[in-house]
Amino acid sequence: MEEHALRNIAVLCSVAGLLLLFLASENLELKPKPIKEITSDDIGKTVKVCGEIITKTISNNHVFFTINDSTENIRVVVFNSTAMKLREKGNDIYSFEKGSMICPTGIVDEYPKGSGYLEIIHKKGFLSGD
Amino acid sequence: MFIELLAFTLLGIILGTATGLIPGLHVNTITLVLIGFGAGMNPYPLAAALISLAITHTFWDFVPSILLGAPEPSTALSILPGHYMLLEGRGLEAVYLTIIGGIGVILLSSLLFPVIIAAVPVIYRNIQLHIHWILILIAAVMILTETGRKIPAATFTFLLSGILGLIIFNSYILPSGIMLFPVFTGLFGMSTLIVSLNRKTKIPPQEMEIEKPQRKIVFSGIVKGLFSGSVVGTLPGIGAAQAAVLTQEITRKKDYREFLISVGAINTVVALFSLISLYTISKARSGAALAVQQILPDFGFNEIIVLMAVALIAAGISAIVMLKTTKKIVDAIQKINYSIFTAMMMVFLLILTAFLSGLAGMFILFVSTSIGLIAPLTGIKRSSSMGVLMLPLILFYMGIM
Repeated sequence: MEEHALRNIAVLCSVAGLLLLFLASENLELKPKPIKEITSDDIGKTVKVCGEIITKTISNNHVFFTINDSTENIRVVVFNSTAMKLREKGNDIYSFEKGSMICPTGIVDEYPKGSGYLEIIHKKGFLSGD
Repeated sequence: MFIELLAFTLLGIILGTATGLIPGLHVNTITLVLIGFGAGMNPYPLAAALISLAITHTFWDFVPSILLGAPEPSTALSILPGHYMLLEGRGLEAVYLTIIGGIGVILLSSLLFPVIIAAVPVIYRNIQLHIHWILILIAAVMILTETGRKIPAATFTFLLSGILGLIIFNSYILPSGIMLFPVFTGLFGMSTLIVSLNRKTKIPPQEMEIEKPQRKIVFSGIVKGLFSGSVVGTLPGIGAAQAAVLTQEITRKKDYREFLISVGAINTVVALFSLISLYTISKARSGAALAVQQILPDFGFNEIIVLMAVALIAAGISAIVMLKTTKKIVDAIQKINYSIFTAMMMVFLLILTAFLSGLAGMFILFVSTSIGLIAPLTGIKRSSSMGVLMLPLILFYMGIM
């Protein structure tokens, strides 16, 4: 195998990978996880959940939702930096009403530490609020 | 999502190039850093960066191993044939052969993907309870293929390095992340450099044109690499180092080229199979796969396809960049006085070992270098020193420790 042949194979490999990545990335989305299935084993992992807003509290521009997906409730935290960025992009989560459906994606955390209370810290991506 | 995935794939390639080229900078260290920085972000691009990093690393880590004598477990057995080729003026060819192995096995694995995903669970079910027998068989073949008086020397080296492994793995002398660095630097790197220095080795002018390897050797090297790599890549606790030993026994003894192609293939296929194992049997077989498992709990068909695509891109780009840059590295090496260069490399490895692992690491480096010298001085195969990993694993899988 000569050098140019090896280079051609490497280029073919990259192009095939790019094409495959382009096609496969279309179908790539985190599947929502039932809230009931989120346990302390998930702490530190990124999960997506979808549920209806039951409560909404705003404190120092941080937004705290409690959402329910018919299996369980969980608290969703959106810190002010994230919430402001989302508002700038037209996703004003401060105006979300109770009863709206949202699908946050974020890290599972326990707060206060050792309490057993789990929450999801939403960091990126639009929250629908439909 | 496509642009994000691509950007993180490129980030992984840059980081993998750094971990491959810098001896002692481990993939798992950067994986942990990436996981830390990426906390809370979309996990798919992060997973793309991790896999791209792992695959790229398997291409570049042959450069310090072959040209500088600074190996990792997975590349340790490439040192001797690689070093010989360097001393024959064919250092560039040695690195190219590992690229052929890496790129070839990625393409072959992609073509055989449906067969592989069907075969892995079957291999795993049938072999997992017999790993120690497989390792004993490999060790026995490795020792018994020596001739005459070399058999006791090979047995002695295997046991001695194995005892070193047992002490290191059981004593917690060093943190697990870096414990193998002084061991492999001593067994395979420093000992090779000492022999070179003692023989007042001179690097001859390096051939910048590659001798075209026969298609038969290329194909055979890749297939043997795929076979060995896929078996060990699926099983727990053993990896590219053991696959290289297995391959050394099934490749033509006098043809370094086939062996280097196989080692190049193994290094990459083991990284790839850690991902395939995650999909087929839900077992993570590497630091990168474990990290992917953590950030992508629902690892399904879409995920494996995306990460296979990432692996193809990382392999292709790494090969292209290596083809461009390795000539310059080899060109620079041939212009320097190799004795001075070897001495500088030894000082560099000493400083790096002291920096990474302190006094304990220096002591381990001294012991492992002494054991590593037995093979070149008695004329036995270097792989006998692989007892450092194989003996502890055999005892572990036999349930003795």
